[in-house]
Amino acid sequence: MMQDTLVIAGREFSSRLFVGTGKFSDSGAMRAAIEASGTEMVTVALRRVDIANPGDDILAAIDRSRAQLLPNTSGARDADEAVRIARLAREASGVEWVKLEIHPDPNYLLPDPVETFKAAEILVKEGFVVLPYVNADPVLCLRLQEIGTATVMPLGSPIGSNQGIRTRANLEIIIEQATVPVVVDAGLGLPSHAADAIEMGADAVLVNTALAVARDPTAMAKAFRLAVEAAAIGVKAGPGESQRTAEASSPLTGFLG
Amino acid sequence: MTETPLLTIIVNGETVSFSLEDFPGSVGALITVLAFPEEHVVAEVNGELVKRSDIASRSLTPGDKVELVRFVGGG
Repeated sequence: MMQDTLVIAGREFSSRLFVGTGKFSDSGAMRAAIEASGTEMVTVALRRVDIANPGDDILAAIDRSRAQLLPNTSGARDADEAVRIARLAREASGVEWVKLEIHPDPNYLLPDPVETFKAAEILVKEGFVVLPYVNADPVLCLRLQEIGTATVMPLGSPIGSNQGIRTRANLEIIIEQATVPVVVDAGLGLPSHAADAIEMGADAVLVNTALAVARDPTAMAKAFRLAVEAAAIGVKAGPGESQRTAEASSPLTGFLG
Repeated sequence: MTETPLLTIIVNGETVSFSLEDFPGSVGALITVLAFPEEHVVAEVNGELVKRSDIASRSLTPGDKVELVRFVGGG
């Protein structure tokens, strides 16, 4: 269940919206969306420098005094590659946080559970703060939290698909069993999808494509921020139970004679 | 006139040739020659991670395979 405050590896987050930085039309649009989202956790990827066109340094566009930088291991096809990328990312950024993602399948980008678990074991032992991106597998999530990952990050639906939560039954079990924060990552296309995840009891959500491909990424980032905040306030407010039959909200006494 | 022999380094999978005089003696020199912004670029030489503090001093020899990576947008 959602805790009052979101704490990951000793760092407190007042925002439950994590934001990815891929696919934005330019760094100005990305910077504005990050600002509007109110996020305190921002993911980045590591790639070869293009010899012909080195381009801009993305870190210059991220306010690291406000947001925790979360390098990902995208591009890794197995545990060895993920560990190699994580070590490079640590050297490049100076932070030990890593979003562990290993998805060799090009069609659905579904994460490889075996390689992810192997890499998580190595990275946790090396002192990384590991946030693993996984399918919505309750047993895998249990195993990962047992070996010391800082969170589990099960998917709602395939990366970038904007389908919302298609893994509901398993997410409910993951949330029920979790002793670490649960971050619903991937597939959230609408603010209501993010609110849905938080109302289910997820501790946070991670979105990228939904913001980056919107006609107005800044406005969409604001919409996601408000949706996540509203849902979190609603959860803490203690919603009434759902039931099959009606229950009158107006008094059933004092009718006119 | 004798032709100057070219020395090569494989940088990010591409062969880059240098004359003997221009051959960058270190990873730091290579980054300068390629005009990369040095900040936040991190390197591997022959599969081995080079600590940022060692980039200037890590020497290169012809035939070395160098990977130079940096952060980009990603989710």
